[in-house]
Amino acid sequence: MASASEEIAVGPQEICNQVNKFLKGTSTPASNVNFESLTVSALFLLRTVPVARHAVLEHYSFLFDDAINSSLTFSDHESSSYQKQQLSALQDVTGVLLSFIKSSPEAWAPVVSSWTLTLLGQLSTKYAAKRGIQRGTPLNEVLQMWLACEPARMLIEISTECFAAMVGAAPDMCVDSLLEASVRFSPHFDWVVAHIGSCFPRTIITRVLNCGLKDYCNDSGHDKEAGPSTNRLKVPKMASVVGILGHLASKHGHDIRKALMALFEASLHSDTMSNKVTTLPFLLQLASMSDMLLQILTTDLVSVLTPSTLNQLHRQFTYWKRSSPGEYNSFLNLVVHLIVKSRVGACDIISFILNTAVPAEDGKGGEQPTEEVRDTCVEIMHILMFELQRGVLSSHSDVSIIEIPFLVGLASQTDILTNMLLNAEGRRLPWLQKLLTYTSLQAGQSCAASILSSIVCNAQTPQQLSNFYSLKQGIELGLPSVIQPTVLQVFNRLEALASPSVECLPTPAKVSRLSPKAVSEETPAASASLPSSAHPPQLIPLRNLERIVAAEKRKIKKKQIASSRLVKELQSRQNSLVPFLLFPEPEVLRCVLSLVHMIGFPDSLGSALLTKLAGAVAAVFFNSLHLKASIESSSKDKLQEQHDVKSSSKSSLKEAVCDKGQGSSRQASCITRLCMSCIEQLSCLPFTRSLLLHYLMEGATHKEHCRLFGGKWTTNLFESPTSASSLSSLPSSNLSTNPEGPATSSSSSVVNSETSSLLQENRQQGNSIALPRFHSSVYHGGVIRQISKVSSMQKPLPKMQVAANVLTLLETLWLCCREGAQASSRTSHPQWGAPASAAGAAADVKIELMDTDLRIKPGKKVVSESSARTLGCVIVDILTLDSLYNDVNWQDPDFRKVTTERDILVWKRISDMPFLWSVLQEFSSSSVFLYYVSPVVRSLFAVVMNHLEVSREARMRNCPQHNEAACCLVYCLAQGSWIPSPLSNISELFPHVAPYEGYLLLLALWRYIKVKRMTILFLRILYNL
Amino acid sequence: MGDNILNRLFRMSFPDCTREALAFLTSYISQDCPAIPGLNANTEQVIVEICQEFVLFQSVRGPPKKLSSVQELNLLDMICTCFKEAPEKSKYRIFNLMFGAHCNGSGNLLTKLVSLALSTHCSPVLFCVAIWMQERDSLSADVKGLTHRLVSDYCLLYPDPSNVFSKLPSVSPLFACNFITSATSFYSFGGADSLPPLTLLQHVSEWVDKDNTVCCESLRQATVHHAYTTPVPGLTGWCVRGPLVCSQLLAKAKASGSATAFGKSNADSIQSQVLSLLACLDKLHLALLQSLMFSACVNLSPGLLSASDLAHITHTLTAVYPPQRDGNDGSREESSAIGVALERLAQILQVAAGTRTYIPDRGKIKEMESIARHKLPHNRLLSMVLRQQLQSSSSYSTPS
Repeated sequence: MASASEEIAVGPQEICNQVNKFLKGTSTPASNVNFESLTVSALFLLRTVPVARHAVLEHYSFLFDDAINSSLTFSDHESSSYQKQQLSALQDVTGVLLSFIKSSPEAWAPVVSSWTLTLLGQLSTKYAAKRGIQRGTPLNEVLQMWLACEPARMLIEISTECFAAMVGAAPDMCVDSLLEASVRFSPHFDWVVAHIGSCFPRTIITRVLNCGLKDYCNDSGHDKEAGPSTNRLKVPKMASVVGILGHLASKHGHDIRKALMALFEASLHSDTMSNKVTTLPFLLQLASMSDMLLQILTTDLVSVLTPSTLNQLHRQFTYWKRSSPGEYNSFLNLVVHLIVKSRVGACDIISFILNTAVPAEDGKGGEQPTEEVRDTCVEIMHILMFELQRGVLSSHSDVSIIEIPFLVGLASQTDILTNMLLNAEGRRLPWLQKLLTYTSLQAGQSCAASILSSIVCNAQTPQQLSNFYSLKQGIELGLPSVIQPTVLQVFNRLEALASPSVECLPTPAKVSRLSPKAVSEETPAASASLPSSAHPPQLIPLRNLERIVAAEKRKIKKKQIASSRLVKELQSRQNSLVPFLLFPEPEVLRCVLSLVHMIGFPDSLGSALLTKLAGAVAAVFFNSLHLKASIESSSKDKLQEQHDVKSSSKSSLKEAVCDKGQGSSRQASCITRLCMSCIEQLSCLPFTRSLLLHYLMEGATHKEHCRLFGGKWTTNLFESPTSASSLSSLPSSNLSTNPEGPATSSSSSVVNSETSSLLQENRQQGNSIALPRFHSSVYHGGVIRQISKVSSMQKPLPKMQVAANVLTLLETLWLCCREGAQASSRTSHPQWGAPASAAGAAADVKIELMDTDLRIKPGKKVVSESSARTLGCVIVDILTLDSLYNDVNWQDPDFRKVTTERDILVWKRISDMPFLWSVLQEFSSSSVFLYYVSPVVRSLFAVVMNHLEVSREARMRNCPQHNEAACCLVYCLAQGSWIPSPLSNISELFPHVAPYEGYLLLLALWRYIKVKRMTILFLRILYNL
Repeated sequence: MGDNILNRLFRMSFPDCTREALAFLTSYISQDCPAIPGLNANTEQVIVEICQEFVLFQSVRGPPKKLSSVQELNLLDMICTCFKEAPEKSKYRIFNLMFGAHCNGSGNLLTKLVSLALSTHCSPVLFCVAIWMQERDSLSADVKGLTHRLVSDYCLLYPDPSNVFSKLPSVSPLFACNFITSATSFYSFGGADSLPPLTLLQHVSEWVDKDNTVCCESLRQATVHHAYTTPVPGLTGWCVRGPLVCSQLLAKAKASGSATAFGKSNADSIQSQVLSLLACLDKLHLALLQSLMFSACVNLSPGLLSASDLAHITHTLTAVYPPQRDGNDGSREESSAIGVALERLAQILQVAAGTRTYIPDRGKIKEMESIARHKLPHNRLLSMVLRQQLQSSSSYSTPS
């Protein structure tokens, strides 16, 4: 076979002959010119007769076609000899063409390139179906398929060579031709472009972009009216530009990115007006046609657009904007359209636009966007809002939800957006609210819930919280049940806040164990020295929840809404709120209490939860009293100190301390009041009522709390099996994870410290050798009565406060015991919301009133029978040693000789806990109470009688303790109408009679009661009926 | 018969119909255009229609038929054969019928025809084309287009010198002559963008060198065809401007070559190309002078060159040679190149004047003189020649 370099003697006659042979071979179908000689003459013509080259190439295109066809058909079988011949002929011509391209690229490359491109286009279109290539086949596979075909590979090799030859000299031209071919043979030609593009990525990318831009410029130059963004004519070319870039994106995304950015940079510094004005629209147009390019632009362009760049762009575009407002509008619409389409970096875009539209006040010396730029951004934002609204609403009306990529992108970054919303002000606020609303409408319930919950968890001020309402209003239009997951998420966050910090934060268990001391030690420090930012993280969500619920309640009260979904949802979450009731921070406590109170206790709550609640509320009740006591004492101490040190100079500081102390004490009494409200509500149910009574009474007489009510703790008096069991059943230990009761742990700690010090002392003792070794000098017994000293070191509370505390306790007990409680609270449930919401907002105002006055007049109320019974039993439990003689029937007065020891114990206990007298007095109006508490009354009677019987005093008043007790007992019996009118007045005689006479009087009473017991039994039966 | 032949041709398929049409046209024109029996009026129009439909395939009725490349080659081959076989006297008439009227559409076909004719040494076609070129004026756009295509076919496609071109003057001297004229105007050698391809320059210098009559061929035909153009002014322009342009190119190549490694290899290739260009120009200059001498020997009427041509060349020289900065006479290469250019101009003027082969014009000579004095560096030879010309022309002109 002839090769390119071989010299042939060429005469004109020879040429004529070859031409004739070639023509004969190609034009007549069944020619007698054989294949080989035809190929020879074709090659000859190609190399010698320039004018014949098109004809020869045409001939070879048939050959290539044929070869591809046969290679496809026989690809599985052995190739025939004809096929081999064909292939070798094609190889020859490929070699010749390649050598031509190499030797004189300028002349041959354009011709051959256009031939190969056209041929490739035609062939790949023709045989696409035969190769089994569908539209969806990925480009990579198509490429592999075609490269497996020998003739096609030759062609692409030639065309790549052409490209390489031309790219240096006339890159625009060859990219142009490539683009044209790509448009002409649209989907089938893609693999060629991809192959060539991957051979010359950088050139192709830049050239393709430049080509597109030039085309774009020219078109927009031609018809000014159509505008750069709306011209339809250039769409195919743009499409092929986008297509090619799309192919190259997977491997050369970086190059594309650089090329795009370089184009943009160049436009900034370009001299020609057209380039300046058209580059950006061109880039945007490109982006609108391909998501990949859009992604590149959104990530990179946004970061490039600094205020100074924007200002420059503004200067560049001013003329154009003025001259063609229509174009400008469509440009803005295009921008908005792109924003709507961009998914990645949506948040960046939004913050960019916002920052440009409403720049931050404290510009750090950098250039600020001009007024016009800002206005433009505002305009864009308005259009964007409109578009989003339309999109979201239309997708709601349709069955199928149209996905808006922008909102999907935002949905993944709601946290940032929410933060922006919380920090927003001015014009940003409504935009962000709308954006978030649309985002959550688009992204569905869980996203909406997370947005709302993060607002609840992060809003610091009521203004910030107001976003919650507006968002909720918007979202509930589309997602009516969004509140449920929101509440769920809020609580998840709350628990998440608590759980990782188990070690560092005081947990409810710890708190309850340390309770009074911890509160008294920590709170003043926290409230006095640290600002509000030192609040635990749980505070914010809880306070926000409280605010929201208060608002909902107000609405219910004003009859604006029938019922609140939120409140209902929270009711089912009481369970999660309980742990927060035992939080050390008073502010948190207040919030939670108020929440619990406002939410109310629906019937659906389980008994376990109710138990927990009752326990927690009772614990909080006592804690609040402790808190108040500690605050007052500490503030008083401080005042005292200041008064001592600098008497008059720093009055302002004194006031401040006063204020602070007052604030905290207000808070404490607010908590107390809230507790009382809760107790009131909880006591609607008989089950919780009796629980509460138990808790309150046991708590009040508990070692740690009795101090509050003027009681004192004598260990051997109360360390009986009964009291131990009552301690372990205390609410606080109920909830604690630690099974140890508070009393045991504290006492053990005391013992521990004692032993360690004793050991130390003994060691020191052992070391000293000065003394002779007696038994006593070897072992040191420690300091005697050190334990009781420690406990007595606590300062007693001032009387005023004790009285107030006792009143509060009595009032609380009354709340539990009221007869009407059951009925009235059932019917008028919302009524309880009113004081509660007031407690949230204006609790401080009413505190004075509460402390001094008894709102509830006990005499007018009737104690309910069941609670009277419970209360009575509880008191009996507390005061008596065992139930052996706790018979409600009064035996013969002489029988008291048998129970003397018991009676004295009761007497001692009640004198340690004087407030129990008040309780007795308070509730003695209820004969049922009196009935159940009668063992105690009897014991007291006995003690008084025993004393009076043997007293040598002249007058009974000379033994005041017993006199008082006797008066009190008579009063109680009279209240409970156990004794009729003349007998009920005998107490007036007591101061004047001798002790023995008093004894006789009491004896008479005893006997009367003993006789009358049948009446009481009758009474009981009556009540039961 | 006119209708008959049209109908018959329309019924035939491609190669046959054209062959038949060509045969018919040849016989018709050879018979001095007899009236076609059965066709009362406008035989001329029928002939033209046949030519349009079946030779040029530019249908007036219906859509134009598009021939494939192979078919086109076949068509060209048939036309060449037709010209070879046609009687001598009617060849140009046939040619004129096909391509004479207007060559809007047929220009492309004509180019291909000429290209094939060159390859196959089909002198009848080349002769007709040469006449056509001369009638059209070798400087017209059509002719320049044709020249451009031919040059790219034969000088650019194949790097080694073409067998076809080297024998061209022997095959068709008139065509060669007109081709040179057209080529010199197309590639004016006025700067880097209008350089003649090296191969072309080699061919042309070879032709002029080997056969001094080539330049005179068109002048010789001037007796037959009133219009003529000669290649001498164009060639003079090449010889004069060439050295200057080449020296500038060399300087530029050196500058870029020192910048980058890639530029260096590129610069080397440019340099070697430019040097061979210069060598060709030297050869061409001598051949040109010899041609002028020769034309004086054969007693042709003067007209190979005119004073206005020379003045025009001087003008272009000032455009190529930029006004010098004060005190700086440019590089040494450039100043020597302008020296060569001016000397060549002077030599040609002197030889042309001495052999009386040029058309003198005192005004133009004066113009040249003033340009040479003001805008170009001084050249002793040129100023002497010019002064002499002025004196002689004044001595001529005063008596007449």
